[in-house]
Amino acid sequence: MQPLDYIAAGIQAVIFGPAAFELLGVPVPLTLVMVFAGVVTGILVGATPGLAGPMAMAISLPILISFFGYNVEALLPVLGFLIGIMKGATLGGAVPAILFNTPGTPDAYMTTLDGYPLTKKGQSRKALKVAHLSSVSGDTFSDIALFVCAPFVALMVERHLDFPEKTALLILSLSFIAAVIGGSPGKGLISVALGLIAVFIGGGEDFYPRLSLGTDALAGGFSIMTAILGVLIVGAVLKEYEDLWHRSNLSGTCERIVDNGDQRLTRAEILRIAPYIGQSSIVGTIIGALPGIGTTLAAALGYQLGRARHERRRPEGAPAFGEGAIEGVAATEAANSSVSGSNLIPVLGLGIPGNAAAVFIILATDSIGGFTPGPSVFRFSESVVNTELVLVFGLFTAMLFANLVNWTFGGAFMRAATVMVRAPKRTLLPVVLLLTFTAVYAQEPSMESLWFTLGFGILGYLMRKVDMSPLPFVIAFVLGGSLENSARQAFSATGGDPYFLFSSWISIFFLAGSVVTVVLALRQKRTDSTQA
Amino acid sequence: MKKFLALGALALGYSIAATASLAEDWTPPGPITMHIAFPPGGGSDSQGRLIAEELETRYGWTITPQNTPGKAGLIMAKEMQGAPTDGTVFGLGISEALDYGMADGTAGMTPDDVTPIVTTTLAEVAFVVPASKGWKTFDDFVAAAMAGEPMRVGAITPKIADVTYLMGKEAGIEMNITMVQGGRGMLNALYAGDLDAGFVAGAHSRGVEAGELVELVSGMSRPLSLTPDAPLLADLGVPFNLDIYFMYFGPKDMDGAAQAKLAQSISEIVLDDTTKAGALLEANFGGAEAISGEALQAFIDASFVSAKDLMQAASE
Repeated sequence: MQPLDYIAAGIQAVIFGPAAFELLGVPVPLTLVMVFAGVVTGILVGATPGLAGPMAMAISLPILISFFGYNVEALLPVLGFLIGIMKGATLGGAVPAILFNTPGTPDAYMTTLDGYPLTKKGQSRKALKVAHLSSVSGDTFSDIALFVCAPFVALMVERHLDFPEKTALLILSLSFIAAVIGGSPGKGLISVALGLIAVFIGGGEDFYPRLSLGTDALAGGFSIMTAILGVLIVGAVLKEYEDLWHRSNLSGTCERIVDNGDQRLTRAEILRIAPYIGQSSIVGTIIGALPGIGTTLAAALGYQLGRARHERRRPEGAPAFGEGAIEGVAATEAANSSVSGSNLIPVLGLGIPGNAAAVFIILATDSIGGFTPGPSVFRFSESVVNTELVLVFGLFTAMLFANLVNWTFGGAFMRAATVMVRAPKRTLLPVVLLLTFTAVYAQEPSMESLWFTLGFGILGYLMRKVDMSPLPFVIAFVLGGSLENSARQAFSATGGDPYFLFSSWISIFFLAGSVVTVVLALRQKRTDSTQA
Repeated sequence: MKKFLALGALALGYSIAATASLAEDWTPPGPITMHIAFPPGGGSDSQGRLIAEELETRYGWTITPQNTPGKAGLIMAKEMQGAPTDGTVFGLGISEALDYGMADGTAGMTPDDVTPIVTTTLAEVAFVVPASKGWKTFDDFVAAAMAGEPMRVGAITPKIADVTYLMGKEAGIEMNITMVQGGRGMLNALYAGDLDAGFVAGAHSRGVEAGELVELVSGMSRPLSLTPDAPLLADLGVPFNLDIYFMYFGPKDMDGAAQAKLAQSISEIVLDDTTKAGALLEANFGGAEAISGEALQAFIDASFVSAKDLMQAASE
């Protein structure tokens, strides 16, 4: 098959795949229905303070798998739903930020700076329109970068990296994630170490289950679902409960919004915000491609660059950034949305997740099987059909459809999602907790798995209490198995050379990079604390 | 292949005749847990799930497939220790778990600690190299190994690693043997150029048909379907083979009627290529081979003894 045939096959896998139902005798593709449902769910979740896209992805994944089963046909509908949530949540996050000064997601914080002043001026609908346009433009730009770059990254890796280099690359990724997430490299490294210890329990090559303390319960190790849902969701819910205990407030105490003046977004205004969207899209896309940095930094950087530009070109009398400038909303929303597509470059090209949303994409493919993200996926085999490559193009088709949904219906859903802002946390949190445990039990019907989830939840809560990000833990848990396997393989393939990590310049470069990353982050942290 | 199918059918016929009346009366006393000793998603997992689906359709039983992967099926065998013996717990693994996996004693189990039920197919195990290397025969491979760097060879199970080692030893070449994760992991490593060669258990067939991979040696005690001229291990001076069956087994002292009914019903499903499971076995493994009863027990006993000899030979 030629590359174009693969693209066509991917599109066909979505369009002519299993049908959800028939509309006037025409079958409606299941994957597209799932993408649509995912986007709507994502917008609603993003608009709800206290909830976030990865949370919804985590809860829905086990439920989707138990519904669709373990076969390759399930991959596109399940991934389509998850991608839909990922994209919808970024859009929805702007709603409470603009309307009520309460960001639905952490990266939407910068949106409040100009979005809320616009609302106070009676321009809330216009602000939402700007957020919608910017967010979807940034997202689409990022997806195009993904489609173009992922195959090249994969081909380069395939060509130049052997077992030792792949091991060194995984070490570099973990160091990078530890150093940049959460603001404290020391805590990041501890978080990574805890993740590795947890994933190494019960595994190994010997028959005796490693680190299991002779207990049957630990002999099989912790399943990835209990660890991730526990640390990410149960931990977050426990922390939210504690905050509620302290504040005893509800998140739905919202003031009445009154709009006045023209709410339309004129052509002149679109032209005015276009350069800010473009600039932020590039910034967000580049940041998204680096594992671990995430949307919050992208939003902050996009906003700062936008402000610098705005200061230079601001007409007389126009509001500055922070006073309700539509350019401010555009710069932030384009930046934080353009992270999502390029975040999948390391996932599809290297098999390495860069953020929580990407973790669930990897988790879905791992759980369902038949598709292993990584360099081998992009083998354009001519004589035998590489089904994984067809799936990748199917996934790209689903992403484009999600963008189309966002472009067309996204604005209307955003306005409808304002109702979610009033949902009280006291009602939401138990529902989230119940859904989480149900999701775990659906995947692994045993009481043990529920206890493990609770245990990891307490760990996640304690990590949050000491300001330690749980994300390095999660990514280390996901990558730990690959790290061990590739190290074992590198050791054997080099004839038992204990210095295999220093066997080539590329792997030495990666190792040096991992040390430098941590050292630089530590120095940066020290400088920051001295200045403070 | 037909000869072996006939043998399988004969063995099946024998076992069915002996236990037909016993099997007729048996129905599971509750929902069944069917362990699958492979991670979700691959061909081996699909095989188990499709058989479970067909059993549910044909007999109305409730079956929950549960993936219990690890250590070539030993983890699953351990998991089933102490499980109910009434036929509500059994699993699909490979025969290697019962012979090589238990032969060195570290597992604390012997084949007598499980109840063999029925095989579903014999894995088409072949020593495979990428066509891009230009090696057409095992002699070409040996010549290249003697001329250059040690060959990097993958193995998907410990038994295969030992046989690979002995094959290299007989040929007088050095090989760095690397464990890889399943057939897909092996193929990825071969295509990426991370490995030079390795024994694969059926996952390579499409690559061979497409001219991307070349089979150099048959790992089985019989010739390969796609490359019948490739030498057998015995031809290379290796007195062992890699006859690895996919097979169902249950906990020790399983109810005889349950064992017979399960053997009979699973055999009927896998030998019928109009079922999804039968079609999958035909497409991925070259067809089903259902051996049960005494024939299966005899195979396991012989393999267990041979596995001990293999370990001894590989450690010398």
